[in-house]
Amino acid sequence: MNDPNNNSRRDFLKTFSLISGSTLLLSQMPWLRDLHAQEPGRRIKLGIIGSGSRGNLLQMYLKDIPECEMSCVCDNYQPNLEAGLAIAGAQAKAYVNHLEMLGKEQLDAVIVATPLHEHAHIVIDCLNAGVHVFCEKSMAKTIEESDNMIKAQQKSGKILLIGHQRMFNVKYQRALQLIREDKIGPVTHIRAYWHRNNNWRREIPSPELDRKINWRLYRDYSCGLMTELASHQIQVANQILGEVPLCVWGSGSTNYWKDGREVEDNVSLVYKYPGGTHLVYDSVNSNKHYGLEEQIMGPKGTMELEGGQMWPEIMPPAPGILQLINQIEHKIFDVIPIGGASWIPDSAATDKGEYIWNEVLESDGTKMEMEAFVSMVRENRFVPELLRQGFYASVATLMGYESIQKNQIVNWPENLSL
Amino acid sequence: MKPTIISPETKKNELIAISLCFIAALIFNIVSIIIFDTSWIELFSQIHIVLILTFVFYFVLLVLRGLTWLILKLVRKKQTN
Repeated sequence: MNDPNNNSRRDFLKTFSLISGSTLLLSQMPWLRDLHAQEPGRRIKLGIIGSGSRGNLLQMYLKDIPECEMSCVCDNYQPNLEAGLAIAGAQAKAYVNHLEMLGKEQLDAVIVATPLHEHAHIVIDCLNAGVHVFCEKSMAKTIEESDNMIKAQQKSGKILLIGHQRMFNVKYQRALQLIREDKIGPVTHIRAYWHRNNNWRREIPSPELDRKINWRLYRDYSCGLMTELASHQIQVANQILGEVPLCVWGSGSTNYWKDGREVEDNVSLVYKYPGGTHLVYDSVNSNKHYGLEEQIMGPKGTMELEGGQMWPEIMPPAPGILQLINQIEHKIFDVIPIGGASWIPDSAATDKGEYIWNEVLESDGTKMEMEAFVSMVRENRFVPELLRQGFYASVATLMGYESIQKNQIVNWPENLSL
Repeated sequence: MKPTIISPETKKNELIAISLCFIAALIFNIVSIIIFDTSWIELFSQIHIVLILTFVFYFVLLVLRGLTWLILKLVRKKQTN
């Protein structure tokens, strides 16, 4: 009998292989080579470390992959542990300490979806224990920690994949292909934003659990909007430009959610890339009208990646017959001006543009990312470019955070391990 | 309602008129392709505009024929008087 999940996977892989067929695209995104259908065989044993809301979502995707089994779940918060075990199934064992789990279980890989401040030491412990690691973005809370994770990966030789799902999103990769094919000319400017109008504060069963549950709001555990949201879009900018930023100017404040939180509720930054291209970024938590978007601009056109649309700067001419009818109509009906405005306002274009990708996507790329990770683990295939993307996005994100905190320009650090 | 009888000669004339309108619209498309240096594919891709234009020309021709018939009728009436 046909398994609908497998059919859906095959269709998705087929779609990806269609656009990844070009040599140019493969040279830009070598990880697409890893996305081929899995042959039945050995199932890999996975451990889940951190089974909160994000961890649970990853588990839901993993559940659909027959080539892996979630053999254990680790979380030090009981309700999360129970939620994780419920998804993982009856065979999964429970742990509250990841070291104990690594000592007792024979795992192939782990999924790390803990709060940000826990990423570095857990990932390093897992790599040192000889286990492949998938770690949700952002990589770590400091550049030093991120660099230490790279060193641990290099020492262990194990796979380390940082979760930036847009690298596995067909729409984004198709846009990248069109950019490489010079559809909008050289990228001269990027504008990105992520706007929400929500509190970010979660309900807590008792006050002493505030910092544990609302860790995103406190500087000891999180870098706020930068690591939670901006890191995604900074990764996209890095990938599109094929560069890392030279420096960043940033500013942030808490101008609305004055509820005791320590992280900013609005940030604005300018990243400068080699060649003088800028990424202008802002994120707010008090207005959602504009939502989220990455606007890629070049002399020949504009792309909006989240909306999946593209606008050529010069519209293709209308058919000759329409131009001729239009000309005749103007000659008959137009009023001859004897004076007029010396300045025409530079209003925004209002045409509908073209779609980068016509189909509605089943997932934002996270499902594909899980598939790719399982595939890489099964074949013991490490893709350095993926780690590079995750690491550089992390470094650029943390540079932005540092710039906001110090109120000064921060340059790309020297002597990084990658 | 009184039945309307269209003679074979009228039918033939109307078919010739609409064919001439279609040829005129086609020439209009060819001229526009040459003037604006657009693709010759438009000879087929813009056939819907050519068909619309055919009916516009036919309508204009109909109005002109109606006016001619009216003027001729008035002139003949005057001559009879």
